[in-house]
Amino acid sequence: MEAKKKETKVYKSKILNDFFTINDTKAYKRTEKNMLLALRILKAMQTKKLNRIKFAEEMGVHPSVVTKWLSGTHHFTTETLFDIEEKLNICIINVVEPQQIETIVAYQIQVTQKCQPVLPQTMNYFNSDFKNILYQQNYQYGKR
Amino acid sequence: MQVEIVKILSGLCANFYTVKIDGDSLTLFEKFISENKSKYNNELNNIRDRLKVMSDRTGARETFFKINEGTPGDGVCALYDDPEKKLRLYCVKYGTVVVILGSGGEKPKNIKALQESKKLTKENELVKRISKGVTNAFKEKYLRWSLDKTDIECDDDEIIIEI
Repeated sequence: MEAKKKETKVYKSKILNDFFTINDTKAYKRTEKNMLLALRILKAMQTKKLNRIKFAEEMGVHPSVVTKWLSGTHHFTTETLFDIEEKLNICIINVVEPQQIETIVAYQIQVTQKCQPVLPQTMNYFNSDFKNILYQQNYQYGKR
Repeated sequence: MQVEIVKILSGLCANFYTVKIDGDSLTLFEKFISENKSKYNNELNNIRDRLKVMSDRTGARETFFKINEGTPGDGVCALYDDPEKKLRLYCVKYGTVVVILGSGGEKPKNIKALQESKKLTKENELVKRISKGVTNAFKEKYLRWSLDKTDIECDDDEIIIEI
């Protein structure tokens, strides 16, 4: 029999309710971005099996600087971010403008021409043109 | 000292708890908010945002905390505000999924170690005691990890431990 997960109730109070209500969405989004950026660098370091000290060595900085970068509170310069991108082989800032993509659409057009074959004045039954005319007529009437 | 552990923030990536001591009407974290609201409202808002992001998006990553603020291995760490780092909030972190928030206070720029501030030392000592109490509760099998290892639970409706 599968054991049921026992949910712990969330404690409610006015102080906590007021505290957890976000009034400044812009500030929240900024904090979120800073922390996600730190997490992105951390995950890239883990993928490359680099700890804080090794990564600091590669970047030519003191390990405490990497600690700041990963704290989610650091305000990076673009230079630092470009350096980190190169060392970790990741893309953090996308500066390439999206190319205007030319859309090529392939159309298949079927043209049917209804025409009355103009028979030459003098019919030569052995003439290849005449054979073609007959063939076209039969094709048109579905006789092939 | 009797400590009730209560969950105050639940998210996909992490759950945050705080404690009520000896039947107090306010939890430690509520006291921390009340004590600092008038002077450090912006800093509190930043701490709130960081807690929410950890809860919903990133989990309680070690790098987001100031670690080793207690005795080795007890999980006691501190959370601070961005950018001025004026406040310290002591907490106990269990992996990236569970954090018990304690209290803390102002960290003046002119002090280096928490021992230089009576208030911070007191709050830090209390959080260290809570950490010890929680560890014992796990050892005695009163507390256990949920099946998916993302939360703590016990058989009682309220989590109450002795520290």
